Amino acid sequence: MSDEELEKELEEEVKHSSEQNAILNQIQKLGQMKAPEQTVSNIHCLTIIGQVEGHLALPPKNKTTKYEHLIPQLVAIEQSEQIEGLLVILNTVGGDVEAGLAIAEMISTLSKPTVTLVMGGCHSIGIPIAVASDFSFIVESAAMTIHPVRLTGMVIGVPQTFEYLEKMQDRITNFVVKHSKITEERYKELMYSRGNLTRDIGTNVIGEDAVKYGLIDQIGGLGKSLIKLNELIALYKGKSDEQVVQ
Amino acid sequence: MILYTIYPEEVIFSDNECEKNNQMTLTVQGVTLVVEVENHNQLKIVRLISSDPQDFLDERFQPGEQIIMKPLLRTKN
Repeated sequence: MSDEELEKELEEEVKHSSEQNAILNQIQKLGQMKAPEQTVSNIHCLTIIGQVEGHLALPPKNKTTKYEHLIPQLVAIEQSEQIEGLLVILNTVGGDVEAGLAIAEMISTLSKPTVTLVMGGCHSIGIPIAVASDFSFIVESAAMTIHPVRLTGMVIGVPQTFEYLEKMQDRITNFVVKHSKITEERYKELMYSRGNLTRDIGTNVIGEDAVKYGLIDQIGGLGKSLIKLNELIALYKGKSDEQVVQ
Repeated sequence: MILYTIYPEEVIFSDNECEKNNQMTLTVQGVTLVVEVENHNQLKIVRLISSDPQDFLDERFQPGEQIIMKPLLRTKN
């Protein structure tokens, strides 16, 4: 063996042992062979939990979903080339009207396929968000409370106050009616019905009833939601391919 | 601002003075985290805010994991 070959072999051996060392280090540091790989998921997921927080920061004991977190994420999802679909999971008690409507509009105007899944509870301003997607699911045990926007804080007993509230109410109702199969009459009937809620007028709609009223598209959980989202992604891809051909 | 929620206002806005909030939101390696200050140089992850489900599998970002802050001298350029 010539000197040159010997040198090469030695070099290779050193390289090999340093590679092994790197793996050993990794095991010592992280308890596993490889550092978690940053694979980009083609489906992103937004969880809307607790109170939907908008223009006013709520006291710290409230669990909140903040619109300043969600809105840029939605923009990033729309812009990203790797992300093909969005799953929105809702378990919310309601919150800021304008923050909720803004999030709902962002989801409904997203060009990529979107699926919403209602679990636990999705009340008040959570409803427009739940119906904003291309397809909505609700689990059998989940509840949605439809009730009128209440007067809170400083109330001036003048007709203008009530007009203002009614307009606010109409913004929500119009969005829900436009983005789901429920009729305006039915929605208002549920909203103003008496005797269903202990402290308020309105209706607590549970699982299958939400589908029956046309508010939500179908009963289903996580598995069904992802299957539907993948279907929509395939459809969407097919459509955009056709456009390229033209 | 109008709140449209099933929770009564007094539940949301009850002013409990003894509740101190030592949480803050910061971005570590591109991921937004809500952290709680434990010590002068130690933070604990409370919540991970990301739309990428893979981030939630990353061991480094699990709630309860600690973040150590290293002192760094500020140098003027």
